[in-house]
Amino acid sequence: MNYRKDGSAFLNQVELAPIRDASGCVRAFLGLQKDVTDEARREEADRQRQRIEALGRMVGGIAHEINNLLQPVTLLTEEMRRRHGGGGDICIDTILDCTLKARQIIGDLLAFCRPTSHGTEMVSVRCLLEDALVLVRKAVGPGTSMILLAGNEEPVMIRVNRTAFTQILLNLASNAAAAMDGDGTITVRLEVLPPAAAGTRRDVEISVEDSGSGMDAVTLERAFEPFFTTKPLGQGTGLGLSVVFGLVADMGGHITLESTRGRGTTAIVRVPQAQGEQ
Amino acid sequence: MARILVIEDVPAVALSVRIVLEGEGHVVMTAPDGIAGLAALAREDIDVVVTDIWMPGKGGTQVIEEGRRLAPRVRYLAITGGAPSGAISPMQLKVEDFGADRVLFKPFQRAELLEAVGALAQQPGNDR
Repeated sequence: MNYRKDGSAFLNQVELAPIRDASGCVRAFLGLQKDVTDEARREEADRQRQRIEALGRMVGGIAHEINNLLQPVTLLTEEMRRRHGGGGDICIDTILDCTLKARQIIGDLLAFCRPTSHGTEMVSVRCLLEDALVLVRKAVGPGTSMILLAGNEEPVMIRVNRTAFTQILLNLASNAAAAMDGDGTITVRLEVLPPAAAGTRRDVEISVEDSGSGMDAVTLERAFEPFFTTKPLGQGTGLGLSVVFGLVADMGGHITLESTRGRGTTAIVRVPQAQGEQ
Repeated sequence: MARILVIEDVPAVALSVRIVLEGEGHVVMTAPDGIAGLAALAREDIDVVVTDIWMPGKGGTQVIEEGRRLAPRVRYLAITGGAPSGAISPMQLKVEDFGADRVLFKPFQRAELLEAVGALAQQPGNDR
């Protein structure tokens, strides 16, 4: 770890080579320092992605088995209700209500494993954000304000399923609002990143930043795991970020979280600019 | 009333589908795997096949492909709860991925099953 002149921290890699005099004694060292912060972040994101993908395959397998168990429970309970002359039996209605909730949870789990890429379209990311924020603002409640910071650059297109994109923003904003106890400001930033090398694609970065309670390292490490939640019992299924992870992966992008306990969290979504467009 | 063949390797799923369909007056036969299902298809006069997709041995996609050659007028309803390996989510799949006429994702409801089977039973088959 080292610090730049402006005081910001960065990860550095230092290579030292001895400089010897004619007799072979080391007289000095030549040092080369390289900023490897981005490289380290990419490696960490890759490692986390592989772990979550493995988890996704396992969860998908479990979901398949549970679906096969829920199927006869659903059909036979509905058949019992029919034979008992319709609704009104609290036992039967409760069983059906539970199976419907279980079906919803399994649906969310499968969305995490590998969500749909059907129904995608090429959309200006800025327009998409503005449209989605109309819905998201209503969802986070009146105590939480949302600011969109987007440059005045030419329109940048991404290929996306609109519903999936709105769900990503909705889940991230809901988490941000909850971290601030529903009282604070969520900042959404849009930035088009320069290409990593000449002629390569550009990525679009959308970040959702809050000034809430933040996360410790252990929570941050497990944040994308299905059913992992820090919310009180009954207030969250722990699938929100898992679903976001799957949806972003399906867009060909990735998501990372940066968080400091007591200072807030920033979720950073990077997705590729649509090919063949500006 | 239609003659329906249910091909499903999970006995409880096959039983529940049969009970619901019989309750509506359909004639239902069941087969525990793809091979037995195709044998029944060759032997019986069937209107609609309801087949699971992920089964050991011959899967539902193969059943539909071979079944279309064997009995072209039959309509196919695929039912699936995702892949056992978890590699595929139902939401990624489309009707045409299986070659089926309709797809239902488990756990589907009674009304969804009856609507799908009823609609397929009324569709004219390829050689009708």
